[in-house]
Amino acid sequence: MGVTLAGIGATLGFGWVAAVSNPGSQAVAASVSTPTPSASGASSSNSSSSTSSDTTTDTTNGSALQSSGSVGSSASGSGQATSGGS
Amino acid sequence: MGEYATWRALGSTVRLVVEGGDIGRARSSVADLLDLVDRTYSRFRPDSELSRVNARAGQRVPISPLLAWTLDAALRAARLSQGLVDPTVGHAMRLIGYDRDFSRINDSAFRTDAPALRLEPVPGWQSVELDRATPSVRIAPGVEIDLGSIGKAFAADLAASAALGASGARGALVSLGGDIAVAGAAPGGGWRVLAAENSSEPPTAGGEVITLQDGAIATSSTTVRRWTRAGVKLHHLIDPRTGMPARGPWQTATVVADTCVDANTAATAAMVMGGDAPAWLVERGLPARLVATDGIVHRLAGWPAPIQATVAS
Repeated sequence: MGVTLAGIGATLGFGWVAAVSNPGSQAVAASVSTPTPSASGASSSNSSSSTSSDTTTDTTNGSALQSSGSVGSSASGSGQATSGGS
Repeated sequence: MGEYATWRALGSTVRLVVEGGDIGRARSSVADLLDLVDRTYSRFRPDSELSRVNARAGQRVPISPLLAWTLDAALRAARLSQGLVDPTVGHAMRLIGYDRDFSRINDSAFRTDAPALRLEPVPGWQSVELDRATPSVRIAPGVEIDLGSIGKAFAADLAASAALGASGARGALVSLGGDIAVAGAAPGGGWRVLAAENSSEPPTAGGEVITLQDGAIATSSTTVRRWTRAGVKLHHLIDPRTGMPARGPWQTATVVADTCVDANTAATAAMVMGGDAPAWLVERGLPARLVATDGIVHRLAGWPAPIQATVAS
């Protein structure tokens, strides 16, 4: 598809996928893992060094739901895409 | 405005917009990715990898990196929503008649082999044991996973990055049935997104338009994917606590977040949560637009007030 799954994973911060997709790339995967603490105070886990003990309680992106960008409004009344139910 | 393309995939309309890149390459990349997504975790394809996992409940099953990745995202969504967005709703979906592509669902109202509706909680996301090292998964006997809206949102996140990488564009936007992710640089003034009840509304139709510089936006609604079975009106948003369609005060929730998975998680959780949703969204700083069943619109946590378009005299 021109862009590898592992490459996209690294871009989005899912480093362990890069490691799984390309065994031997753990060092690279570790460098893109960016866990952050959640709003509830629980910290997320280190993700890239997957072990056999990894389970659902130890997920890659344990951080809280976030929105860090700004949202503006437009007076043009015309969009480039529509967000709605489907 | 950049170049755009639209087509159908994953039972939804795909809309792709690129700024300053090769739309053909972007489309090809996104189409390939969505085809892979469909083959990996469609619940409606008996030959999908997810269907094979569901058929082997009770056993540990080796899985592909993409399925592992998506399951990880779904389990995170379940945890952060306190279980309100749960991937183990597959059996509940089947019970209410959503056991095929939605375009083929209406005839189920007259089926005689449909299982009886019953109220019972879904098994719960804790019944899914994902091992990222192998990668492999084991789901408890009787559990059926449905990656549903989280899977679609995750595909949008992946697709936006894929489009950007393949096309050489400055920026890319991908909408999968109204769940939208952007990547790269926004066009001047930002990405303009029409907030609507129905994603089939043309973006140029006019209405409440917001602008995004980055991140994602997703909408969860009970107004579109509806059907009737045995005289009961149903929709696809399952409340995991009852196993039945959620019955809250909202008909539509639209949320902005850093990723489409986060936006979709929050929008779906808000719909299921009901009256506590506004406080929950504000506490997390997630800009949101909730439409109550009486039509009143609530704008929260930085969602901008609408600006009326200037009308030439």
